[in-house]
Formats: sequence, structure tokens, C-alpha cells
Amino acid sequence: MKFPDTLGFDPKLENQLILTEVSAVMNWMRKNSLWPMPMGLACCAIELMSSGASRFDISRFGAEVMRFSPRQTDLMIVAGTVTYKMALAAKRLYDQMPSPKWVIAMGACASSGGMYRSYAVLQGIDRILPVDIYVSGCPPRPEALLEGLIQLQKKIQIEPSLLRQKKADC
Amino acid sequence: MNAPAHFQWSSAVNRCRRLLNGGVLVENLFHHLPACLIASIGLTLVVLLALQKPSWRPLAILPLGASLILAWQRSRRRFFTNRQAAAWLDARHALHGLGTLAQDGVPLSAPLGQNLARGHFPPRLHWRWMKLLRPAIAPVLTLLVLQLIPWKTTSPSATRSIPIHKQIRRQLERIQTLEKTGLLPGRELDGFKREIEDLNRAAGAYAGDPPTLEAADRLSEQLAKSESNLLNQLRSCADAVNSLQQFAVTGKAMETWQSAELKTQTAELLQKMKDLGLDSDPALSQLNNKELAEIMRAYLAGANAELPKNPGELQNMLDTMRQWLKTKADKASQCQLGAGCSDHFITETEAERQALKSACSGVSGQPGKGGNDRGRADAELTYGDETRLDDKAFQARLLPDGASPSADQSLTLSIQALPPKATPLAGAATPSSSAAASTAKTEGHGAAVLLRHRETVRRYFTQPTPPSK
Ligand code: SF4
Repeated sequence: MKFPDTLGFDPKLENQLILTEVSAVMNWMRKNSLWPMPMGLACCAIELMSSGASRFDISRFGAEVMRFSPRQTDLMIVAGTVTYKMALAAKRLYDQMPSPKWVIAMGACASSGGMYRSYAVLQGIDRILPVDIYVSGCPPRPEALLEGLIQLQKKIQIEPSLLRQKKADC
Repeated sequence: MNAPAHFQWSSAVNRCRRLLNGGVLVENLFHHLPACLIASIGLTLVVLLALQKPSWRPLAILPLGASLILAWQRSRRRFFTNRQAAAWLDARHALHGLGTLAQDGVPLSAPLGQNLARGHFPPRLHWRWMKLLRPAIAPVLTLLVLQLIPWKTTSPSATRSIPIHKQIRRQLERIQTLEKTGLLPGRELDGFKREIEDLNRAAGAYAGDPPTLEAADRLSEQLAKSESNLLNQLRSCADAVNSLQQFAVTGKAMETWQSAELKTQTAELLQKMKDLGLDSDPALSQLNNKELAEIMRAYLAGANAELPKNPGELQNMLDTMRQWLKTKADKASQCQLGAGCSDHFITETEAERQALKSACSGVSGQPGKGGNDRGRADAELTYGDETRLDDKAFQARLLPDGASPSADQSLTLSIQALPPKATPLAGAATPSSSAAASTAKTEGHGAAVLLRHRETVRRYFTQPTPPSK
């Protein structure tokens, strides 16, 4: 089943009518108003902060509303080394986020444990959370994070949003 | 006459038959192998990509097993009998039918028997290996790669937050359990119940809005905190009772027991027990130790508690306390107190909780050792080209003469009883209390270098070629 990734637009009816599907509109709204939860756990978080600052300005992509309450976010950006102790907290916060929700693993540590092959470090947040986008780098530059965000937006746009919602609710 | 006694024709025929049948089997195996290999690859891909179960990769052996069965089925009809094997040997070694005759049990003359002996050479089978193997090479390699590459474990599926009504119900159940067991004081439970009412009201009006959910989270945290506090109190009471026990057991002088410090200790213990619920008349009258009940009543009334006068009485009192604490601890473990402090509220079901635990302990069961499907996690720590150590940079080298201070280069000017005072910087303002910190930082720059140090530095830099040892 193919889901429309663009809004239908008829030039003849310009300024009067846009034809589309509910799913496409919902996705369009969701992808352009992501509310991230900055899960800053180590050095990558500095780059995450920098992505939000004026030079890189994450708000250009509609994702500047960082919230620290999981109940008010739909995108978790895991930036940094995930220790086992923190992993449980991260999992808990993810569980508390309302659906639909997405996860970006920012940096080598969040993606695979990075250089910390240690008894204390979770070898990738994808062991406990479903990661949508992995951003490589140690740390990734803010541009890389923004690229990851754009990729996520593309992913969201073609998601079967209604079905996903339904699946999450049942 | 039969073949010579030293030569066993039938065993030669048997051996030949086995070899020929093996050849038939192998040839038929190759007939199905490429198809089965491709089926194996397909199955592996399904297991990895569609089912996302890397640990099921050994299933790829099933189609290979099937190829063996098919080959067996196909070969059964083509297997050589002993007679056919004898005929084959006849033809192979130009025995002119002697082999078949011997196999049929026809008596042969001695010279003919000698001829027959030529036929015992093992048959040499000529395999067209490359022709047989060529179609299988690519699938075998692909299958090997699929089996050997480290495959990332599947991401867990998305979870969803627990709906507000369910959260409220759970917490209410928890509160009711605590109320039933009487573990938490009534006033605390009343507070929780009031919060539940507020939550119910809010959830009725705006189910699932963030503030309501946040309030529910807060309540669950508070509950978990109360449980955790209760457990801590139980533990610390038990410790206090144990430490007082020393006096009862050793029978230390009761004047020590009456000392102020021990009185304070006992008062603290009584306070903790009061917090744990030993502050109501029903609870006190249930105690089978009247003395303790009296002490407790006096303590609650704010009077000076009259402590037991001899070790025996003290022992009795402590035993009663221990008994009472044990009852509490049993109740706590019955309603799984403390589960809320850890991951009770994180996951919804027991299965999820177990999955989370196993995820956190790593596939191999050892934290941090992710298992071979995690790639890097299990790889040996090696240094690549980027991080090869530069041996020269780490070679030990002796410092030139005079680079390190020796005793004879130092000069004792004076010996002070106190640490030296910082000299204020020239031109700097008198350090006020607020500027003291910054002065302390900068005084290092202004400090004069000792003479002997200056000399060392000068010599180090002026020496033309430091002798290397
Ligand atoms: S990936 Fe690198 S920068 Fe990021 S948290 Fe790990 S060590 Fe720090």
C-alpha cells in the first residue's frame, strides 16, 4: 500500500483547493512540529545544544520546542553514552512519551556503545528503544544531527500514520 | 577351482559397490544442492530481514538436510548391486566376465583365479569436481557470508505510554494494598487518596493531556518514594536494634546503658518505630511486652523514657522490637514493597520487564558484553593503523645532568613553623574577602622563582648538547 508523501495540488484550483489524504496531512503536520526531548547523556549533548543555538538553528526544521517532560515530546534525541543506570531512566522516559514517537540515536555511543566497551555502558540505545535514525560521529556535527532530522522527517512523511496510531493504541 | 585363498573376491566387490554407491549419492547430491543452497539463503534472509531473529540462522541447515534426503531418494533406485559392481569391475579391469562368474559362484580354474586377482585393485572414480561444484560456489559463499557477518539485533518494538485511567487504577490498587497492610501511616495514605480523586476528576475532563499525565507520574513517584523510605526505615531500625543488642548480650555495665549517648540512640529508635506506625494505642496494646509498650507510651507522651534496668529486661525489649519489625518486613515483602522504587512503573507487563532486564544485561548475560550479533561489542580491543603507538615517543630517556635538583643545590634560608603567606602582587589592591579567591588564583603568576630553580632552568636551556645516556 502506498502512502502519499506529498500534498495533492491542482494549479487550476490554486488558492482554493488542495486535494490530499488525511494521512498525508497528519504526517505533514507531525514532521514539521517535532517536539524533541533532549536526552543529553555525555559530550554529544554539547553538539545537540549547539544545534539548537542560533548558528545552526534547529527551529528552521520546526523542532526547536525542546521539552524536558516526556509527556510533552514526541522525539527523543539520545545524545551521549548510555550507562546501564541511565538506560532504565531513558526507557522509562520513552515509555512515558505519547505515541506516535520517534528516536534519534546521536553519536557512536548512543548508536553502538561507541568506544566504551565497558561493563557499565549499554551497547547502543537500540537494545531498549526502537531507534529510527542513527547519526554517526563522535560527536556528530550539528549539521549531521540536522541531516538526521531531515531524514526522520522524510520517514515520518511516508509513514502510515493512521495505521501506526491504531497499532499503538490497540 | 575358486580364486586363490589369499584373495577375497567378495570383499573386493563389496568395497567396490560401496564406493560406487557413494559416488552415486554424491552425484545426486550435487543435483539438488544448488537449489537447496538457494533455499537456505532465502530462509536465512527471511530469518534475518523479515522475522529479525539472527539467532535462528542455523535453520539454514534445514534445506541442506533436505538436499541430502532428496539425494538419497534419487540414488536409492540407482545404487549398484554386488553383481553390477562385479560386472563393473569386469569391464574396468578387462576380466572378460570372470568377475561376474565368480560373483555367481561359478567355480574357476586356478589360472583364471589368478586373473581375477587383478580385479581387486580399488576402483578409481573420476570425479568432475569442478563441473559439479561450479554452480554451488556462489550460493555457498553467500550462505557463509550470511552466517558469519555480525548481525545487529532487532530494535525492540515501540511501546506506548500507559493510559491515564489504567495508571490511576494501578496506583489506587497499590494504595489500597498499603492501607490493608497498614504499612504506611494513615495521613500519608489520605494524601495519596486525595490526589487520586483529583486525578480522576482531571482525567474525566481531559483524558491524556500532558499535565494530567504528569500529575499521575508525580503520584507514582511519591508512592515509590514512600515505599522506599519505609524500607529504609525498616532497615535502619533493624540496624539500631542490632547495635543495642550488643549491650544486652555482653551485659555491659548498665550505667553505660543509662549513659546520655545511649539514651539518644534509644530515643532515635523509638522515634523511627513511631514513624513506622507504633504510635497508636491498638498497636501498642498488641505488643506482648508490656514494658516496651510503657516505654513507648512514655516516649509518645514526651516524658523521659524509663529504660530497662538490667540486661535481661533489655533483651526482652529488643526481642519484642525485632519481632514487631519482622512482622512489618514480612508484610512489606508480601506486597512486594520496593518494586515501585525500581522498575515497577516503567514497563507494563512482566514480560516487558524481563525483556528490559535481559536487554540491559546484554545478550550474553554479561553486562557490556553484547554478544556476537552486536559487532563491535564483542570484538577484541585492537589498535588500528590510526592508533599505532609511536615507540620513540614513549621511549624512556634520562634527563640531562642537572635537570633534576639535588640536595646540594638547595639552600635553606629559614625554617618556618607556619606555611608561607602569599605576598600581595605589586600594585594589586588589598584582597578583600570577595576578591580573595581571585587573588589566590593569580598569586602563582606573581610568585618569585626560587634561585635554585632558576639556575636549573638556565642550565637546562643553555647546555649545548645534553648528554644522552
Ligand atoms: S559519541 Fe563521542 S562525543 Fe558522543 S558521547 Fe560518545 S564519546 Fe562523547
